[in-house]
Amino acid sequence: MSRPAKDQSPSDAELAGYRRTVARLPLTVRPSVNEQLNKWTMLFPFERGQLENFLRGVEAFTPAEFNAVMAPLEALEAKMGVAHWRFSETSNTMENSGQLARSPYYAEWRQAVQDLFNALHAKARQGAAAEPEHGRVIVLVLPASLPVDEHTAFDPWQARGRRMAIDGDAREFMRLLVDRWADCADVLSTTGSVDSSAAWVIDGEGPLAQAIHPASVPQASCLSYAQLDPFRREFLADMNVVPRDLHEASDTITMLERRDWSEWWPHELAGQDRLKNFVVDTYLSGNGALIFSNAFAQWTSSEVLRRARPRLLVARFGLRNKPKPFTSIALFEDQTKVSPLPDTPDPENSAIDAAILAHYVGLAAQRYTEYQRALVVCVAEHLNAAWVIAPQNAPLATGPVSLSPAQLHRAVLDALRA
Amino acid sequence: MDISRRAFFRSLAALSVAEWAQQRGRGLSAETIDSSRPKVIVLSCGGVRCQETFGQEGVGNIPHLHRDLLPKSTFFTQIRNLGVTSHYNTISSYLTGNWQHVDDWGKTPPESPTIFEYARKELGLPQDDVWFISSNKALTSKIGASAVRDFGPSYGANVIFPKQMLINAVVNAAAQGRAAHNANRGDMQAELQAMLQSSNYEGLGWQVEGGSSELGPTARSMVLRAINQLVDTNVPISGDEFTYLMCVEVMKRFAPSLLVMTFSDMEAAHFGSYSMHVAGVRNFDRLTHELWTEIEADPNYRGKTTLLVLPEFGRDFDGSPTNGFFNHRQDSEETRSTWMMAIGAGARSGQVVDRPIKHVDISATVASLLGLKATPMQGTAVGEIRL
Repeated sequence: MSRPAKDQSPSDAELAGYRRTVARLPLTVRPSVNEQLNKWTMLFPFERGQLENFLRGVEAFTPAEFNAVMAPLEALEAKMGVAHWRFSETSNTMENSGQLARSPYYAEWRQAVQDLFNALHAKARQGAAAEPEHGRVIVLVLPASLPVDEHTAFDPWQARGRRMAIDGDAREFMRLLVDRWADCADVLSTTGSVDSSAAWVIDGEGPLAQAIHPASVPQASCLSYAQLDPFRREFLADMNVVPRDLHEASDTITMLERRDWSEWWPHELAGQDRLKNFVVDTYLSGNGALIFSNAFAQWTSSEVLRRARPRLLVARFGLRNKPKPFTSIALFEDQTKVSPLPDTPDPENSAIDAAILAHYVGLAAQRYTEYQRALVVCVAEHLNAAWVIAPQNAPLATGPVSLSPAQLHRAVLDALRA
Repeated sequence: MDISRRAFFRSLAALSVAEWAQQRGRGLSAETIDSSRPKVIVLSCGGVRCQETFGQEGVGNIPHLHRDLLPKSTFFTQIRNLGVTSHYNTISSYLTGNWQHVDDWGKTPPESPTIFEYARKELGLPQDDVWFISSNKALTSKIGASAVRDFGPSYGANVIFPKQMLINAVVNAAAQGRAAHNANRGDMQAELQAMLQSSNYEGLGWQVEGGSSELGPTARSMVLRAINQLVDTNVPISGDEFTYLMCVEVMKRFAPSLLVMTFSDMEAAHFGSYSMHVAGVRNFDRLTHELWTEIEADPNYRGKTTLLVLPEFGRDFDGSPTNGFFNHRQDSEETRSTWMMAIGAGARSGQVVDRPIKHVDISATVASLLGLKATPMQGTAVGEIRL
């Protein structure tokens, strides 16, 4: 089977070939693969590579091997009665998920799918050239507006890394990172990372992502909660009409995916359709991204790590408002519309939320082999301190326990170069 | 549950029981139960992990459960949810005693008879004697009865969703251009009262008094009183607060033999706010204590009531691909394993039970407490809870 170039859409003939391959797979595997094929132009390079590897693995099996690998899942699907379900083969619908989760064989099914994917990836890796390893950095920022204490900010991280004091004003580190973004971009491009999915800035507040110079190469993918506000509110309003009936809910979600959001999408991000599609997917996958800025920062970052495997991810958390009397009962509603009471910031509880969610981004990275040697820095500006997880033998892993903002900035560049 | 957690539960229970025994001399015993019909109240809450409750770091979130109620209780350290860890399936599993695999959003009734139906059929109880009151938005009134032949809605419970009423009032006020009412307790009272009008009442999804389109006068005055209590209270308004007030009114007006209530403030976790999740846990702790105080103060309940308190499940572990505390979808210890507290007539003070029991055992245990004979179900009665 021929493979598409990573930056081009597959031809109709190639797509037809892929679909024939997918049609040979067990029924419950088909929706996710078909969904990715249908969205090829919206996939990040990492996802395209993953999909190619998957299909390569399928094609690499001999007929006997193929049957042996697929048989356990197919047998399980027969026991589950999947063929008699109302089960979409073209996309992962809520109805699909609900039927699978309710099956008494759900846990077995998950394991069988995992086994199948492991076998396919192992087959695809045979004979494939190893990709060069490049340095990766994750920067998480608890801004000065969040009054975190030591216990809240750093206790979750104790299993790995160490605390480092930042001499002077810790906010200077972010200023350097933003003002000298071109330095990061240079390192990325000279080491072959030129796609905008290589560097991300996710901002739970606002001004940071907008401060990144758009002419940098690679152009960073920048998302800020504040900048997306009109889009988010419109999306939320549409989401809130999703009915409880699953068939109709799936239709509504499809409508949300297909709706032309141009009017609401930030004009600074015009033309970035892949980014817009990513945000829509992120909003639809829940986890509070539509409701709270810190949940947005965390869940978006986790999805970026999963889907794009960036070389550099900067995520900054922020303030949320206090729940309002009565209307906090309906958190999913736009609070500015359902209550005339003014917004009141809630720094203490925002700090609690942000600290645990920053750690969640670190935990998400740990799931992927690409980040086993990454530099992870969680800066608590309020404490003038950072938690640092550095690769073994890196200067930050063994050197002095305090450093200046400029030294931390330099360490980020060095880690990207590594 | 790991060994260290078990050991911790044991030591903390022993310590607390000793403290309590010193203060009170003896625990509640079966001698205090009078001869009238026993009563059972089941209080479950949404997903909460042991680490936020009875784990070493979590007890600060549950001062009342830990200090006030644990010494009086039979405490079960391992309650296993082996079914679908969604709200509707879990609640219908413990109500029926059979693991349910039905639509997560309550589109279909449980596939086997609920404890409400068994109780009403065998004991001849009227509908007002069995109630299900819930904060949870993922439920429908179908939770109150199965569609099994010879059982079904004619033996079902009264089902009410106070939080849904509150939500509808808030959303309705905003949609009708009266968002200003949502900022004022007095105006909100009127909005809530308007929810009882027949045009709005149908949207509440309640099932009261045989499913008539309007509340009868007794139920209506009960709801109005709960509304008054809500707007008069000094504590922050929450769905669980309203659910609790409604439960107390039901207890006062109807004194049901079987009352099942579920809280869900901690489900703010789904929106990604850990602080709100923990606030929900603290609210649950406070309201559970208030409920027990209410039970002890009410002559219809004092001395003859067994209260079972348990979470529906835990939540996913930190670092799980399902985003940790946000959700409850993992097939993991943190999600499937939780705890239960039995207090009152059927409990033995200070007892800690370490063997695993299952959510489906709840229904069989309630059946046993109510003296029911014919309740075929997967679950079995928990021997440590008996009259």
